Amino acid sequence: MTPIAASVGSLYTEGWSLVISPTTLLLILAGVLVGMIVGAIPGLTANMSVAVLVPLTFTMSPTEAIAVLTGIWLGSMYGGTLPAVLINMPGTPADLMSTIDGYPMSRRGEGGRAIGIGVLSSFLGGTFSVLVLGTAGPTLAAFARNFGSAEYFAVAVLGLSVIAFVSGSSMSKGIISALIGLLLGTIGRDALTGQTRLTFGQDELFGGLDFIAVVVGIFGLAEVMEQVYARRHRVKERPQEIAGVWAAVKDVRPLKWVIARSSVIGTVVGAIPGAGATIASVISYGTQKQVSKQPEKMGTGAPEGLSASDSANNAASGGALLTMLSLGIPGDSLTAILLGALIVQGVEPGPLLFENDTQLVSSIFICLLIANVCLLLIGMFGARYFAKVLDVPRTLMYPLITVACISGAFALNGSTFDVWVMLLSAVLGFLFARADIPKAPLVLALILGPILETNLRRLLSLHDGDVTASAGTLVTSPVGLPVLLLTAALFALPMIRALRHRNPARRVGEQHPADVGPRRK
Amino acid sequence: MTARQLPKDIISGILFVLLGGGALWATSELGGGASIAEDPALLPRVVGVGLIVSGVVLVGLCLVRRRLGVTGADDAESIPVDLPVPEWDDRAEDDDSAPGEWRVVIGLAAAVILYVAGAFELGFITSTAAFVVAAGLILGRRRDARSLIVLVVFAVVVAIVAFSGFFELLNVRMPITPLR
Repeated sequence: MTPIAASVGSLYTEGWSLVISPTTLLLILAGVLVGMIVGAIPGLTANMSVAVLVPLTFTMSPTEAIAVLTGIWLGSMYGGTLPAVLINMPGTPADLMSTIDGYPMSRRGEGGRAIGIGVLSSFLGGTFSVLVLGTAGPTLAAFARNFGSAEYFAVAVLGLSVIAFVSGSSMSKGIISALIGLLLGTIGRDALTGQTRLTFGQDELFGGLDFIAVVVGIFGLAEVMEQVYARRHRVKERPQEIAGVWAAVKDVRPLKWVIARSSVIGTVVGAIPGAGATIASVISYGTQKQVSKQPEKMGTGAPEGLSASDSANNAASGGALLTMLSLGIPGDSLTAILLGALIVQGVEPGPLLFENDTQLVSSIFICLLIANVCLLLIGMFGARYFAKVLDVPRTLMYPLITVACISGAFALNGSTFDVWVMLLSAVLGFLFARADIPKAPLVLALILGPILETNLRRLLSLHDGDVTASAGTLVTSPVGLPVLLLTAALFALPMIRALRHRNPARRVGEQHPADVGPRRK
Repeated sequence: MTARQLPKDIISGILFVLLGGGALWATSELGGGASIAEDPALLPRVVGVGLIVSGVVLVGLCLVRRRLGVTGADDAESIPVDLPVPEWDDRAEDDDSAPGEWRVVIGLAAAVILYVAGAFELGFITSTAAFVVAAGLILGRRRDARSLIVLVVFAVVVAIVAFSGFFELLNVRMPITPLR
């Protein structure tokens, strides 16, 4: 194997000079604060907050940009725990399992303790995954340096196949969403031949659709419209009281194995291309229920249930970044947005990044560690103040987000064309929600599409267009074959499970976890 | 059967078939290279065919479900998972039969389009402030004096902060407009 380009030790040290500046530290703090505020508002997701604020990072250095964006990401993940505990409504989809035990705790007067457990579990889960990122990142990157077109094509297909798991109850709708993402990704000039595709004579489309404009529309403005459609702007929340946040410190010791197990699950699931924090928390909660000594108490306000969910969803962040930074393949839709933001900065995530810019990788790693510490401090000291966010009238909040979406889309290239792309994407996102079609596969396919196409065509051209010979290379590759088998398994498993559960009595009331969430009809 | 009665899966399926057909049509004139590897239409055409097949599958599954009298996610490709499902607070949630807030959505969408048209033609700050006030009223903000004053002040602050944050800070060139 190729020697590890960036040693593990260097990742812990080299980036400090980039991070230890008042601006960067302030940006991390601001990111966590903004993330917590946005995450605390039910319906406003981490995807939305990161996507809407990406344009503001364009004038920053890559380290500053990643500092603020990861701060927002982690902050929103924690912020989502607040409404999950206080009003039984997850702030972000990744917090949906936190409602199951968090809200019952809150109802019996332990809201502060529940939030404290959430903060501490998030901090420990997040920190664990960052340490894994620092250790496993260079190794994975060194391994991936040997990847050729066949391997990259296989990994991109794997990323798309996880759509089977993130598509809710209907796999065909997930596939359709991904196909539309692939189609949108082909708009513009073909990278290999220079011919224009699907541009309909529009000069502005020659460079392709701006990824960030599409994401801001789909996750930003479309979600505002969905919230309005679901009448969330008319809701006046009545949160439970918060007291005794620090009492949760005593819970950490008895929960240590829950946190450890959930952190490992979160990191591993997060690292699988296409999975993400929501799936991680669902699997972690399910595992905890299976191994719990008192499974009957889970769902009635058991700290272990809340801890399992919150540890895993924050741990997924490091896992997802591991895949994104070392392979250049996004772990979930949020890392797809981060990937887009880094590419705008001129940074190309992938194995060579660990070799060519160790300092930047190290700074990202350190930013994540600091963001987790900020999350701990702000979360423990500021929980009761963040809960006030639930009082902010939506009649002010939604117009504000709309203005941010439109201004951000214009700021991408100083062009109103991007604003119209954003608006059309918002319409598409809203229609997807109406037709119960998941949006995450579209975003993943939009960023994976060019990787998939370029490597497929490179592979074909290596064999003069011979499909059989190309397929032979793919299946004889030590990476390609296992990855393709895993892909086949990911597609087949849900269907096999579905067939095994065809007993109608068992199906009553059952839902796929990806379908569970605030219904926005 | 009226359009309203058609299940949304059937409507979606038909639209995807049309979209797939459109992709095939739009790439029909793309010149193929010497080999399949140099054909720029390879992926769009594969995706077009995929959309047609998926659309047909979606419609077919929906028709089969209707024929069998099966509703909701209770179909062959649903993915049951033995996990507890959170009980949602239903204060603001609709069931499938309840109409959504279409009127407000359309009103807000119209305001957004007017805002986009105005912001970069007439003037960003003025249009933004006007949009925030209009959107607040469309969303049902109370119309007593105090609420309106708060809304207007908020709108002006948002307009100035957005202008400074996005355009002054990022040095993005704004079109020269009659109203700043």
